Amino acid sequence: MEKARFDKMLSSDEIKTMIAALGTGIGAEDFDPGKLRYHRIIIMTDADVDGSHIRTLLLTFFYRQMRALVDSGYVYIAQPPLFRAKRGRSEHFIRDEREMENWLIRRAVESRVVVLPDGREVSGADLEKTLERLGQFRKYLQVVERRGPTRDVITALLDRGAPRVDKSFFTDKAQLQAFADSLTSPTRSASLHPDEEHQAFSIVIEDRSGGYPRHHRIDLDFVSTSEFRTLAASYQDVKGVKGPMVVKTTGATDVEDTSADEAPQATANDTAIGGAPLDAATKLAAEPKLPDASSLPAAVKAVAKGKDSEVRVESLDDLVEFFTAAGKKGVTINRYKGLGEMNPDTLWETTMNPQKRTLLQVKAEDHTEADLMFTTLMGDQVEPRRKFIEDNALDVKNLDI
Amino acid sequence: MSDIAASKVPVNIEDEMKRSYMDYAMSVIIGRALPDVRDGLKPAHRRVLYGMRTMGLASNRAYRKCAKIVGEVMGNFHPHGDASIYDTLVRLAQEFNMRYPVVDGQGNFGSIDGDPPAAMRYTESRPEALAEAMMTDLDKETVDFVPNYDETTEEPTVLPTTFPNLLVNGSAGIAVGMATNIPPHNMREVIDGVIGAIEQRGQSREARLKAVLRAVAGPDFPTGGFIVGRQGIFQAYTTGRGAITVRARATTEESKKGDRVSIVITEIPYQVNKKRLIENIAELVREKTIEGISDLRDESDRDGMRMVIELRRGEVPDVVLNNLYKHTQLQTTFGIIMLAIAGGRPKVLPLLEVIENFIEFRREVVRRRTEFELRKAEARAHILEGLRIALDHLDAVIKLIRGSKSPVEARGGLMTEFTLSQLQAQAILDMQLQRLTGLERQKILDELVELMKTVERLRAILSSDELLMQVVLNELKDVRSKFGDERRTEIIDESGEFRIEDLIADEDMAITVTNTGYIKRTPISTYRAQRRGGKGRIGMRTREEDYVSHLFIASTHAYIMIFTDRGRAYWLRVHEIPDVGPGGKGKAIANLVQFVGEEKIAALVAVKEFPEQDEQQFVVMGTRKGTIKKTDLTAFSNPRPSGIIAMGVEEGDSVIAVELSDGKEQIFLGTRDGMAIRFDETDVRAMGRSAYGVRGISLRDDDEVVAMEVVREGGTLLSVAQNGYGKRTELEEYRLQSRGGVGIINIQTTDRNGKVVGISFVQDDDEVLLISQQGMILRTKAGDIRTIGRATQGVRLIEMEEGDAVVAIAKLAERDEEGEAPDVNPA
Repeated sequence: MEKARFDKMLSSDEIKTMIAALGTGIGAEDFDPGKLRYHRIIIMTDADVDGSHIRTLLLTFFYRQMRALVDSGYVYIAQPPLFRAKRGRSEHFIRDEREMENWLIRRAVESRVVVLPDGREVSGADLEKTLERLGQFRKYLQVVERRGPTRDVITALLDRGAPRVDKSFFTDKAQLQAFADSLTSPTRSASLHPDEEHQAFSIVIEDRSGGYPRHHRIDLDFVSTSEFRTLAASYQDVKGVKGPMVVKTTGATDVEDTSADEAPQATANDTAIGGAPLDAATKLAAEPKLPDASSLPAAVKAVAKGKDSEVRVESLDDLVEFFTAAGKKGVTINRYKGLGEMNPDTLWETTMNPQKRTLLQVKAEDHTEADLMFTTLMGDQVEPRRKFIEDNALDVKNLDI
Repeated sequence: MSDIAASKVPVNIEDEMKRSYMDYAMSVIIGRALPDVRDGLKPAHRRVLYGMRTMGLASNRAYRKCAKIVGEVMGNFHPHGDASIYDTLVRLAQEFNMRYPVVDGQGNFGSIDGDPPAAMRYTESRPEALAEAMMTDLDKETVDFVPNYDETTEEPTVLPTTFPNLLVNGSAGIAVGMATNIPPHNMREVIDGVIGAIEQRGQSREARLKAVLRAVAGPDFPTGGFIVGRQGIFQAYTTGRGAITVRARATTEESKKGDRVSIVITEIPYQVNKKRLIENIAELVREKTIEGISDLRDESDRDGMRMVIELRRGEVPDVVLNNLYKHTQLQTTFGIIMLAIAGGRPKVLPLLEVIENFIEFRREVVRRRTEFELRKAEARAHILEGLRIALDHLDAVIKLIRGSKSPVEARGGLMTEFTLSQLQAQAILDMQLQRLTGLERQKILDELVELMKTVERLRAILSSDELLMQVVLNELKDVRSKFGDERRTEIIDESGEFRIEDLIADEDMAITVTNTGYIKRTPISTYRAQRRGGKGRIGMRTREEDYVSHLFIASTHAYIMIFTDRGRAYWLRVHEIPDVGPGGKGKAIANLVQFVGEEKIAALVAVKEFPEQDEQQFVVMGTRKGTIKKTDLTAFSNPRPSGIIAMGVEEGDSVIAVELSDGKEQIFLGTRDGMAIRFDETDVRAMGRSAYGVRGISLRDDDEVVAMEVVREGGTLLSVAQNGYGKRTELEEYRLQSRGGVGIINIQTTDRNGKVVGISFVQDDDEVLLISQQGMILRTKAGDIRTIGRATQGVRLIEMEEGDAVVAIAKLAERDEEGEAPDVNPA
């Protein structure tokens, strides 16, 4: 904690070692930045959320006890990679999820062409860009989704409200009712309620899928949130891409990809002769995944099939998933949780080598703001912290369970 | 700066703090510390249970080493420390932690004394049958699965539990900025509540709530005990937050001789560490915070808990027990916060919402399972249909197969010839020849008929919500009869919040204060009444050169106002004064109240409570130099530790006596040289606290006032002189004068008598205590002392040893209740 008593803080061995190494001494009287022995203090913690926690504690220590070091820009944060993508012998290190996605798409795009419903073909850099935008759109969609309504409701709203969902959308009762009716399904009911504040109507949705009766409201306030507006803007970039599309995989550039693991699968159906006794065979056949009832997205299965061919994808989601799945093919991806997972030389290559590494230099631009942040997050008052968490809960990007 | 890094990105400290902190906080909230409302499990618990299942462990199979389980869980699902996983596993098996344990442990799994379990390489475990009830149908696509942390396998996001585990086993966890604390419940009651809510579905919220509250009486802890009061439960159930009081189960046992009583504790509140509790009690006994305990033993053994608290002779068990409740964990408060993850976010849920979330979840699980079973039945029926066709055309089929070059050709032939699907054709090809026997053929036909029935039943369930809920209901009833048991924690009505006074026996105490400022209290009953002229008994062992300067009788429940000679007033509750037995020395008053400067105690006044406005009471104060002052008692109702001014006192003067009056009484002042005056209280008007007062008696030469009494008609004045002599005189003999005169003669202060040391207004059946400089105390009945005229010498009251002298007298408080009067056995 921020106000941790001096002696208590000093009783931590790690902190003691660190203070000794820095050489500045500690405390109001003893601290002397002039005696600092190192001028690059790099905080390197595990890439998981516990690492994040330790980072906040260390930053608090530096900011509260050795602010001069922060002010002079001596404090850095290391950026260990979050992923390792291994393909055969070659390894590729990827810093975060976004980079990961782009990398996968770039890999998958190389040999593929997408045919849009209107017959246009997209490929190469254009395709990459489109997919990136789609990825972005999906991200924003996720953010808005956290506000309550499910994905299909939001996309329906985006479709229906095009070009813009504004007040007129919520004042036209008949139109709104029609929209609400279109949302109603066995596990979901949507009804209109007057929205007195805006002299309009709102749609209240009761969603019973997934075991929870959940309620959310779609109204003018909802579409006025910045998340929704960002999403709507992003939607303009991608709305041209919709409906059933065909992905053509041209040439066999990904030779290694269509190797080993698919082969036995392809022949599985033909080799079952005489071998398995009937009951086992029927069991196999009767296993949950009947051809039509599959819960897996068609796109992913298509990738699993692995044949270079034309694959039909029904939706945007499927398209992006197809490409990320295609990008993953033949690649083993590891998510690093701790620095200890890396070999020493890997750690050097990815994180510590001054020629290659990326460092975040910690700066305090506004001491009033920074001070407030530390007091809120690390102070002894619980209530402001709880409120801060509530206010920012939807912005969290890196959830680790 | 490329010498430092390939790229250097500036980052604002508060942004980095915010990002890192929120990542951490939300991960802890969503994925670590809080349970899911549906299965009541935190991810760690869920992973342990699922891990045990994937290892093939079951309640009817062999135990496996816990280390093996921990390794499996850590390697497959839970990338955290082995110690925390083992702790989780252990907790799930501990009977004092889980109302219904889900892990069956073999070996030392720790104890309620806080002993740690044996290391995981020694202990073994397997799931309880109950854990299997949480995971039945797990392989029937009833819940969603997600990839595990290294994407090598999958894990369930929730377990398809058949009972509301969140309520049944409870949950506790501290996340960031929020915490949850859900008490365990009785399986039978909770399931009845769920059933009630299902039956009332479609009705108003009140109706559903009522159905639930009717069934669920309250939490039910594995450790038993009592819940005191229903208000907290109701509060928690209707709002999601509330506090309940949990008490140990205590009985009393008498010793064989019948002279001592012991309190025996057989159940303690939930999550209380027994060993620490005993240490805590022992500590409090040592510190004298709790009195009356002579011995404390833990007699728990394999048959159960048994803590024996032996009481001193004559102690009232209820009083000691109340004290223990107040000061130790024999009574705890369980703060309920029903916070759980619902719909992906933390939510405080009232009982009804928890139950309805569970109902929805069950409905979903049963629906998905039914769909799965239907799919499987239809697939099987499809195959059997094919086999039946083949059997109907057996010869043609055999001929076709014999005529085919390859399996593929045979399959194709079957498909076109008999309009079979590929699956059916393949099944026919895979068929064993023994299937062609008559018996086997009938089996296939029978199975098909059976399957068609099943398919029909499953379809009916899926098409009717009513039927679906019926299935849910029936399964709930099964679980109830299989795992339901009797409630362990008893719920009792609260007897009202007790105040500290209730913990203290209402008993009269003799409070003695020595000249050097030591105070103690001793039960009045300790002093036996003696006949006049007796030798007295040691009342207080004083240090050399110290002597008892004040003696005072008050109930333990009273407040004592301490008035100092300098006119300040301090507060002390009688029970706060140490009770150290007749021979003890007591405690320095300076340690109990904070005197300002050089002050000495002048008088102590007991106040039971402050009067209502219509019945005024006054504090009457008198000084050595004859000043008197009266102040409304309510002016003293706000005690402060540093004391308050009660009376302005001139330099050289000091307060000697303070008494309470009702404003219509008379005041009697007596002096050292034997003068006395009596006047109406109304002669003295009430003044503010800091006023100096008015003249009560005019003193001659070196005389000084030794006593001030508030008196009324009827009764006698007992005057006692230094050398142990004294007398009683009727009040009427002192004629009523007006305030401020020199008064009349009270007693002759001859050499035999010595100076007057004290005067007390007594009735015949009052008892008085006389106390000598060396600590001798004589208790005698006022009626035993002769009533003689004013201005006489008096009789011997107490035999004084050489050099000793009477220093004070005090009157025992009158008793209202019969039978409680102090016994007056002749010595």
